[in-house]
Order: sequence, then C-alpha cells, then structure tokens
Amino acid sequence: MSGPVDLLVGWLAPDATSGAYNDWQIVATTTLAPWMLTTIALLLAVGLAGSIFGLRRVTGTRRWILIGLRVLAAVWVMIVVLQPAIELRAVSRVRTRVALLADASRSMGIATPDGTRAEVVAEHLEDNRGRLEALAEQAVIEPMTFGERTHPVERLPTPLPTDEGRTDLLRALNEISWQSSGRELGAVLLYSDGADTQGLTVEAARRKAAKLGAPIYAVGFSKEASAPDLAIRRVLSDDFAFVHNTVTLDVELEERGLDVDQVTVTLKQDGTIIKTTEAKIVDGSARVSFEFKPRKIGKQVYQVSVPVQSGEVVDSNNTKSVVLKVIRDRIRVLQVAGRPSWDERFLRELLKRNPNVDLISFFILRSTTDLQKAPQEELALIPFPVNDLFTTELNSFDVVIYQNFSYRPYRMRHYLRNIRDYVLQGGSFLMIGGDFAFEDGFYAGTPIEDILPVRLGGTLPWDNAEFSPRLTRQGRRHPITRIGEPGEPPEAAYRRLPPLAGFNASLGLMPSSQSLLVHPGLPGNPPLVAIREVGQGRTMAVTTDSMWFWRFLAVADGSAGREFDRFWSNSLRWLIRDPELSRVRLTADRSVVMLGDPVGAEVKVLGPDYRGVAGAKVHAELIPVESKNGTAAARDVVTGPEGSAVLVFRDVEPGTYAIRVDARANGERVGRATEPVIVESADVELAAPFPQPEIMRALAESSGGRYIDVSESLGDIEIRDARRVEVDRTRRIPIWDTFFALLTLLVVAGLEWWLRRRAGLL
Amino acid sequence: MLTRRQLLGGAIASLGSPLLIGAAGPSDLRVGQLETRGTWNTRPNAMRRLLWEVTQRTSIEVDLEVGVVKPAAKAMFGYPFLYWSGSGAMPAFSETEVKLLRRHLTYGGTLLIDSADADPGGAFDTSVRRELDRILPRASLERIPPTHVIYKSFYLVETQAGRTIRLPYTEGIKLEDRYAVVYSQNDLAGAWARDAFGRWEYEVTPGGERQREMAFRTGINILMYALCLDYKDDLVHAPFILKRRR
Repeated sequence: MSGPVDLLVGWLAPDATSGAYNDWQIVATTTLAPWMLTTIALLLAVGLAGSIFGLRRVTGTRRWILIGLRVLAAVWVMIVVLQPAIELRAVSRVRTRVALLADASRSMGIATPDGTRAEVVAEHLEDNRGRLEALAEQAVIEPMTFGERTHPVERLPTPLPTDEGRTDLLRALNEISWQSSGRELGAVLLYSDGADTQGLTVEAARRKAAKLGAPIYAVGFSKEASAPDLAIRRVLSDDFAFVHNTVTLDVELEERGLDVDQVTVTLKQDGTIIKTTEAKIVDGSARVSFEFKPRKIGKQVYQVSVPVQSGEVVDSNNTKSVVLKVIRDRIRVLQVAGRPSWDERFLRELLKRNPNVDLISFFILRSTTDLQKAPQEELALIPFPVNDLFTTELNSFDVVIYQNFSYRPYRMRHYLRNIRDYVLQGGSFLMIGGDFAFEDGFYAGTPIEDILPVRLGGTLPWDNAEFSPRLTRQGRRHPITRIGEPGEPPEAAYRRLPPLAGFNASLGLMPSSQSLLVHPGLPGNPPLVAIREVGQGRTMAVTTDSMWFWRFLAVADGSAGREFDRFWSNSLRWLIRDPELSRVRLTADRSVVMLGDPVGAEVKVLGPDYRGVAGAKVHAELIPVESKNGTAAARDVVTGPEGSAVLVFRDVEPGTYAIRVDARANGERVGRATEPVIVESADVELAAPFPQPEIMRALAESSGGRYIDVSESLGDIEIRDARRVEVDRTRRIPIWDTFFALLTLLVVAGLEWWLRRRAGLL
Repeated sequence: MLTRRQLLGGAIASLGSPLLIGAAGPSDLRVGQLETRGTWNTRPNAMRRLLWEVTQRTSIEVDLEVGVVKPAAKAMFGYPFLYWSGSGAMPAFSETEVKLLRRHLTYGGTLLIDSADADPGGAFDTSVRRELDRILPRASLERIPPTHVIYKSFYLVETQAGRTIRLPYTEGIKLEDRYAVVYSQNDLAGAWARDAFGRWEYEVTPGGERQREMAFRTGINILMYALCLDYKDDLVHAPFILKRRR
C-alpha cells in the first residue's frame, strides 16, 4: 500500500485485502426524496439568515466568529441529513475497438496492374501485419467485410471476397458506430476503392465522418490505378416533369485510360432517337444536357448511351436508362366552334372556369357568305391560324374539340390527316354535333371518319325534335355518364333533366366503339354519346348541340346545372386518361430492377363504384419495348378480397419492358393498364467502376484520421482513448455517524454557546 | 318538369306565331323580351331588326322572332339572352319575378336593358336601378371600362351611341367575371327601329347615319359577348387587336 487510495483503504477498511480497491468517491446515502432535501436546505438557510440578523448588535471579530460557527453548524446538520459515505471501488478501464472494414463489393474484383483491387488490399494487409499486431495490443480489432451492409468475421478471409452487389459506405459506418459490443469505437481502418453505389457525395462523406467520433484511416486507390473504361456515371433529372414543358436531363460521363477526347451521347425513348449531342472529355469527365418536351403523361423511359470504345473493361455501363414521371401541368384544350352558339358558350364558360384547363378557343365569327359592313381595321376578327394549329401546335394539345364545325370552308382537308395521326399517337378528339358536324360537316370519307366512334353515311336528316336520351348497359357503368349525386342510381339524373333537342340522326356506331347514351325514339337507337379507343388515343362523339339545356334550362326547376358540369368534366378526364378514372391500376414495385431481381407489380381492379372487385381475372404480359419478339412472359392472376393481386416475373433478361394487364370481371372487360420497368443490364457495381479517392480522403480528413494510398505503408494509427470504465465491486463506509462527527458538532455548538455567553448575549 | 317544348311553346304562344318551332336550332341565338307591367314595347321591331343584321353580318344563327316572356314565367329560361326595353316609371317586380330573374342571371343569363327615354335620372332609370338593387342586391351597376372585351367582341367599338348620346358609356353589373347585365341609356333600339316600309323610325342625333351604324355595332357586340364571353380577350387575339387600335 503506497498510494493515497491504498492509504484510505487501509484506514477505512483495514480488513480489505491488498489491492482490493483502486478508486474511491464520496456518495450520499440518504433515502430522502430530492424535494425533501430541498425543503430542509431552504429551512436551514432561512434559519441561518434569521440568526445572523439577530447578531446585528454584536460587533467586531466576535460577530464574524459567531456567524462562521452557525454556518458550520448548519452545514453539519445538512451533512447529517445527507448521510455521506466514502465509496471504495474496484474499477477497470475497457479497451476500445478498431473496426477493420474491407470492401467486398464486385468493383473490388476489377483488375489493376498489380492484380485485382481485392488482391492489392490483401497484399497491403500482409505487408502491414506487424503494425496491425501492435494495434491489436492497444485495442480490440473487429474485422468485417462490407458491401450493401457489414458482415463481422473472425478474421478477414483469404482471398478477400468480391461478391457484394452494392457498396454503401455510409451504411457501413453507421453499422459499426451503432454496434453495442460493449467497447467504444477507437478508430476505423477502411479498405475500399470508394466506389459507392448509393450516390455518396464528398460533402455527405465529410458530414458523416465529422459526426463519427473516431478517426478513419482510409486506404484507397488512386484514379491512375483504374482500368480503361468509359462510363455514364449519372443521369440527373427531376423526379417528375410536366408534359409539353421543357425538361432537362444532365448526363455525367467519366473516362479513364482511353485516348478519347469527344464522344457522341444519344437520348432515346422507346427505341427512337430523340436527340444526340457531342460531349468533350476534359480531365476524364464530361457533362452534357438534353432538353426536350415529353409528349405523353405517365412513367416514361429514357435511355442515354455512348458508343463502346476499344479496350473498355466494362461495356454495360455505356448505356443507362431512367424513368421520368411525366405529369400534366394543365389540360390543354383546343376548342374550335363553327359559329357562336349557346352550346359553345356554356361549354367555354365551364372550361374557362376549370383552373386545371388551359383553353385555346377558335370560333368562326363570320362566314364567307356574311356581309362585311365595316373595313377590316374596324373589326376584331383575326385569321383562322389553321396551319399553326393543325401542324406545329397540334401535339401540344391534350384534347381537340370540334364543336359543330365543318372544315370545308377553310380548305383544311389536308390537315385532317394530322388530326387522325395525332389521335393514333395518343391524342384525344371530341366532335360535338350540330348542323355543321359529322356528315353535315362533310367528314365522310376523310381521315376523321377513321377515328370517330360513329359511322357516317346514313341518310336521315338533322332532327330538331326533342327527346330524352336513354342510358345503355355500358353507359350505366361508365364514368362519363355517372352525372348524378353520389349514391344515386345512374338513371335518376337523366329522368330529372330537361329533354334535349337537335340530333345528328344518321349516325351509327363503329364496331370497336361504345355507345353510352342513345336516342330511344329513332330506329336502331342511334348514339347520342359514343366513345372509342383508337390507336393510342381516344375519341368521343356527342351528336347534339343542345347539351347546354342541362346547364341552363335545368336551373328553371331548381337544379344547379351540376349534371352538365359533371358530364363534361367526366368526359375531359376520360379523354385525357385521368388515372383517377381508370378502373385498372397498375403499380410497379420498382421502375428500375437490378439484374437477377424479380420484376414485381401490384394490380388493382375497381368496379363502377370504384371499390375493389374480388375475383377479377387479370392477364398480365411483360412486353419488351424495343423488341419485335412479342411477349417475354405472361401471368394470369385473380384479385383478392380488396381487388388487388400481385404480379411477379422472375429471371427477366436485361432490357426495357412494359407490364401490360387486361382485367375482366363478371364476364366483362374492365380495362387495361400499362407500366414501364427497366431491368438493368449493367451490374451497378460496374456502372462507374472508377476508384473514388476523393470520397475516401473526405472520410479520413473530416474524422481526424488519414488517407493512405494502397501503395503506401499504414504508418501510425492513433486510437481514441477509452473513456468507459467498468466497476467490479464497491464498499461504502459512512462518515456522518462516527464519534468524530458527533464530537465535531458538539465542539462547534459548545464554542458558539461559550462565545455568546462571553458576549453577554445569553 | 318543364320541357323545352313547353318553354318554347309558352314564348311562342305569347307571340301568336307557331311557325318558329322548326325554324330555329336548339343552340341558335334566341332573344326573349321581358313583358313588364310598365311601358315595355316602345320599339316593337327594333330587336328583330338588330337580329336580322346579326344574321347578315356574322355567322350566328338567329331566331328572328323575339320571344315575349313574363318575368314570372319559367319560359324565361328558354332565352339565355333577355331584353328589357322601356319608357317611364315601372311598377315593381313581384318577389317571384325578382327571384326568377336573379336565378336566370346568376346561372348564366344575360340581360340587356335599353332606355327608350334616354333620360338618366328619369323615371325609367329610377325604376331600373330600384329593381336591379332587388334582383342582384350584392352587386351594383358600374361603368363598363372602355377596354372591356364587350367593345371588341366583333367590332372595335369606341363610341357608345344609340338614337342619342346621353351618356358616353354603358353600365353593367358583373357577376364573377362576366357582365350579366348591360344597361344603355342612349336608346339603342331607337337607332335600330324601322317601320313597315323599311324606313328608319327615328332620326339619330348628333352623329347621323354613322352613329346609327355604331349603335348596330354596339348591339351586335353585346349579343356576341353573350355567346362568346371573353373570347376576344384570349391572348391569341391581342396582337391583332392592338395593331388595329393604334
């Protein structure tokens, strides 16, 4: 026994064996609650203050001695209350751990002039074996391999594995810092090429390393050690884009070891080249941007590619696909009316009122036979911009409406082909009736006839008589004709609406079309509202110009005309394929699937009331977008109680696909849905296989560690000291109930009494 | 439930002419003239004359016969465009009439009021303002600004004129974004009216025949506005109109 602790132990616990305790501290052993202790302390303070006040007549040194003795007495009372004890402790300090992380991702299998990266790491570990053994004496070495996550091992395997499909450096650092092996993290020894596949940036690496609390010694590879390759490193875009609005895709290229200064970068959609541009490679990297306007809404697949160069070690990273969700900004509607009319007016008012509609109207205000009683400069008329509307601007519209409009006076027959092609490629076309529409507009034999849902060629004239339309079987279930109040039977709304008048009576129904409302009083019940899916587009025919009766005449009887609003709103939503109106909904689990992973999707089938339909039969096909070979795989599933079913396609070859589903319920076709999915041909580990020493350097420097090139020796590794101690045993020796403590209190009290007596205060 | 035939029938029966049922299409421009309890038909042929000009000058298909409707009749809803002409003081509308007129205008109807007296502050003007306060109590008459689309809906009109020019502006009541009521105190119909022999019934002062033409253009623009709303405010028209107005 020689130290102060030993002396204290020998005095307080003479029965303890030598070295049994190596630490001590003073502790309070009172069982009183903190609030009680606080109350006692406050009372003592108040009493002390009162007694000091009582000494105001005593002067000189005596007064200060009395105050000191009373303070001492109060402190002593407090000590008695707290019941202090000396706690002798036997403690031991826990050794810290050093995480030895070895990257086992596939990029570590890439060759360098000295073997694969993993072999170079193994050689570095072997060359620095002595340093590591010295390290093991100061701390506990915890070896582990990592890729997408960490795998603790007894010792690093030989040879080092290179089979991890991803590299997630942040996750690896998180996992080692969260581990609760009972030891603090003293340092990290990280072996990696830094080729993180999760998009780790230098800034993010710095932030993480600064918070780790232990130095990282990062052993990495220089860029010069890279194998020759040209890669599309990243394709950057927003998560979504607006249809018909310019969107930008930024492409980052990286090149090592190739004698290439410039490459052609190509952007494709569905196998069709959209744009190409030249990228100049400076210091091994290049960045180009593509600006284009998406034409279709929904998830769209875009593919960026660069030519494979001679000598490249990985050629699958010369192509990269991205999925862009294209949404609608506002619905662009072109309304062309043959003349001003009430039908045109109430439809325009409705469309203008809708904040989601961007309406472009053209009304023929004066025909060629009308008199011009004013010079042109006194008229507000403008030329009908036929060429602009039906050539350059046509594809920018989501819906084109011909409202009682005949093309003939405007010599635009040759533009009708453009409208047909616009529809076949995904556009929507609505023809509203009147004495200038359908046959009366001379559309028979034109390209418009090819896309209309009604057959032209009848002989019945325009009928001005009034009639009440009747819902067809399809009309009772179709979203367009559900115009009543919620929960109301489909027919109820039509019974309370005023009759219509004016009808293009000579029209029949095209075979692939559906009639939703018909004229019940004419032979064959010709269609009033008919729809058709033609090519990739949709068309609709309304064979009267009196729909405005539902808006204005209806209000005479107390209606608010909501049926009119709903009818046209539903029609517009159906024409633009509003996903909310679709009764078959398909969602891919992931838009980009890694090679070897299953392609999964969920399909939901809804009834006319938009509740899930159980037992619906769904036929699903996986169709290669660019191939002419048809279906790659097919599945048949049946929906469960909620109307949902899960689709899984396994062992899918790399490529871009469309998952297409057709659903049937109760013997009727419910609908179809399509969703794109990409199966990555490239191993993500090889997509950008270049070492990223800047990431490794950022991790090391921001954590207080050091970056070490794999060609250099390990050098000194500083381990953060362990702060944590473990207490093996304790012994408490009370110091408040000893004879000495009692004597001290008596002495203080007695001295205080004696002094007061001498001062004549008693 | 009111049928279209009943609606039209009521209006046509009041005209005593069944010939028009088949003549007009369901979406054609049809004007209903309000039969009030005051002097309501001071210019009997004027609106017909205007409608005839509309057929001659524009592509609008028109029912030339003006329907006569009582404000209490639901038949009024067969006519989204109502015409209220008058002279002198007018008894108040009944509560039913006020409610129906309010409903008509609120749900998309348009009302053209034309003072044959051309006497601002006079008996007819006072009656009109009193009744409009009852029909549309939350809105009030205001001067229609000269830049408004109603002055460029077909013609570029810069002069507000009728048989006379008592006020150099037209008033209106706006509901949401459109003028549901248009009120002229320049006796528009006085400039439009011809007698049975085709002669102008009233001399137009002070501008003579040019002023009469302006009155027709104003009438045509008001009808065009009722059918096309703010169509001529669409951006595509702006450069053409600005160029012509320079």
